[in-house]
Amino acid sequence: MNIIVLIKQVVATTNVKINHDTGTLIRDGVESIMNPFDEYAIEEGLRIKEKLGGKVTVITMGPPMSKEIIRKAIGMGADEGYLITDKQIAGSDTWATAYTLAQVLKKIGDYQLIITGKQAVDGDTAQVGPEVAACLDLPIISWVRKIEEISETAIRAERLMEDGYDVVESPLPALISVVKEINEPRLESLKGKMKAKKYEPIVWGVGDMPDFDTAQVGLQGSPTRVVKTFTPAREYNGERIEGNAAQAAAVLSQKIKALNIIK
Amino acid sequence: MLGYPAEEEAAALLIKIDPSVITGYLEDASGFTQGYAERLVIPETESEVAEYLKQASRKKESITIVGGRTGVSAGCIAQGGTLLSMERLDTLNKIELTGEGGWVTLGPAVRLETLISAASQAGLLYGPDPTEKTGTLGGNASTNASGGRSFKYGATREHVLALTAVLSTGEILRLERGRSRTSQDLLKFPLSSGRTLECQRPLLPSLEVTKNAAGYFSVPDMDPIDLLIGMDGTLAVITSLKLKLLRAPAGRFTLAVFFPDMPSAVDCAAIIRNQTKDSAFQTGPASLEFMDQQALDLLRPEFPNIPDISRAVLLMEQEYSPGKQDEALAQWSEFLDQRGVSENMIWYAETEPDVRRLQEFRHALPEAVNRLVRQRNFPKVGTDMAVPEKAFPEMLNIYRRGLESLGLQYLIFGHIGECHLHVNILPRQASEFQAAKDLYLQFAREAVARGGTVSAEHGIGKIKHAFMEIMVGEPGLREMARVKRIFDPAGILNRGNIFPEKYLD
Repeated sequence: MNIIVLIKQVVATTNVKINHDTGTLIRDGVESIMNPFDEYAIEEGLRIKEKLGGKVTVITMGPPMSKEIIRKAIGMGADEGYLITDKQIAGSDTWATAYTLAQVLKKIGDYQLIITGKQAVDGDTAQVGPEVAACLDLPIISWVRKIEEISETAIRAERLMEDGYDVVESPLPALISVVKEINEPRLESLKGKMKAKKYEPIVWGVGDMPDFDTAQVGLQGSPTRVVKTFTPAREYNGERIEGNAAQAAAVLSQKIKALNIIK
Repeated sequence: MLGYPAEEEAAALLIKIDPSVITGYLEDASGFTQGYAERLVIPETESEVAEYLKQASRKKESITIVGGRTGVSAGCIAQGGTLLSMERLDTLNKIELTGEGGWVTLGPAVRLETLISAASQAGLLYGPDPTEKTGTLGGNASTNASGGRSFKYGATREHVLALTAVLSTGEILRLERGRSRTSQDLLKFPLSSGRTLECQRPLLPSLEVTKNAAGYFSVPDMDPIDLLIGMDGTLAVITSLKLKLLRAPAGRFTLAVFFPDMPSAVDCAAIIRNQTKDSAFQTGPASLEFMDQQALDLLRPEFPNIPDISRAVLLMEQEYSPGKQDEALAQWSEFLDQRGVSENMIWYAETEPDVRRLQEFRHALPEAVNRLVRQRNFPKVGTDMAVPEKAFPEMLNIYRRGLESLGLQYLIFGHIGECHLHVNILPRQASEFQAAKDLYLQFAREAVARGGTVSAEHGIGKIKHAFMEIMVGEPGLREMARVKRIFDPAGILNRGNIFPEKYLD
């Protein structure tokens, strides 16, 4: 089975700083890592490959430094990696990104399953995966917490819901996005790391895709307009309950009851 | 009525007698709860320390020195008298660069994490890596603290280039490594008063281990400064340190290598140990740690990727110099291939999130043990012996035979690079707790009989006197008390640390 995993490089911090003049992320001096949810996607891809055979290919769209996360994926056991980089796609929003990735996937062609993390931790939109499926007219199962069964032609998976889970069956090819409950991503292996250090990803620009419509990508082609970005002020509205543990617990339970959270 | 210093002096020394303040200073990581003190003194300068000690000596006022309170042997827990907190002597001076690295002078209250970060900003490395980063350097030197990277860098001792300490007489002692050599084991200590303190090197059984935190340091032709390192505050109060810094490596990676059985892990560790001594093998790891099957089983729920067939793991941290990463990777890969370790039994971590995951893997073990202990309500019994390399396989057999013959639940983990493994016994009932304590004493005797130490890193403090006696016997305890009396004639400093107070009277 040919499995494609879509991955993204993000800054390695949860306390992202923003340049208020340009509205963009301050990346100087901040380490970049693979989006943590993508590691679960790669892990699941590798597990399917270990079961059914085949190949795991990762694709990322980003600046040249994104090669680092492709190498990380190779170190974990992926077979091949594509870096999609081009000045014309810089500044693309989720829709333009999905369009670009869909063109890449159309050109690669031979795949049965596309896996993404549930979202990237920088934008937190969770849109690109579903949009790629839409562009390619593929079925999608989002928020997959477990693959119950998979063959070359079909998949049955558990989709995490707020109140439980759905069991969804789909023919392949299809796209799934995974949540962190699905597995425990492996670390790189020593041999994997050695292979990864020497590995050169396949690099494509927009010119490598037939019929690529550059009007649909980049800052100009993106339907999204960033009007303003700001860091919301943190509000601390906590209330301290004094007294020993028993007294404090009694006061606390009264307050929760007053809010009708418990009876 | 105690003669307190004049008011302005008292203000400078920050003398506190409020019990609620004092109580906060009577706790470390030992779980020892029987501390009490009459007052807390917080001096700001070396001369304040000297002045206070001089007066305390006159009054025979017992002094317990307080550092970061991260110790596990109750060394800083007072049993009456005065707590002398060093917290205000916390100056970290500018790091000076030299050809091979650099050095820095600092006050004893500077915390390890502060030094590590300052050194790192200067492109340097403080070699010893004690786990507790909020511990102070004064405490580290006083206890000769060691850590994960002690396999490569040794304990604190060899990184102390010079120190200043105040004796209980109020005299100040300045020592620089390499300045004075002993002749015929007579150690000489020049003091600020012009007097030279002379002390015969303590006659203690010689050790063959690379790591020791039990009792005074003593080897033929020793540097006098080394007597002050690892003295647990019993001889003097350290007021300043000059520490060696090394050039930081270009990078480092961590390997977790799993084995299907314990002997192959132990054999592999022995080969790594020997190859590290061999200069032809470039890539000796900075740390070499071990966990046994029971430890892994305790961690499996939290770390489901632990290979099913693994029964032991070695954790290694490898540093490399600029441009040498490929070489280090290739050497490890070839070495592990030769040992027949398959790829899926090796975890590699280099990026910050991955290294953190492996650190969590290591640190999750004591936490898992503590969770179990809390559920059962019986304290764990944890050992700290190290033995010479040649005795190590035999010692490991002694541990396993003893533990299994009694049917105790246990796990073994720790610093296999220094032949220093911790046995943690987890009693399920009172009789097992007693049996575990007896077994610990028995293990200590076996280790000592093979040239080992009863405590390689935790120290003796106030809670392991029985083990100190196993190691050096009554004559050894008396010998250490003799040395203490030369430095501290009033016998007021850190009474009850290393040996019982009765040897001082």
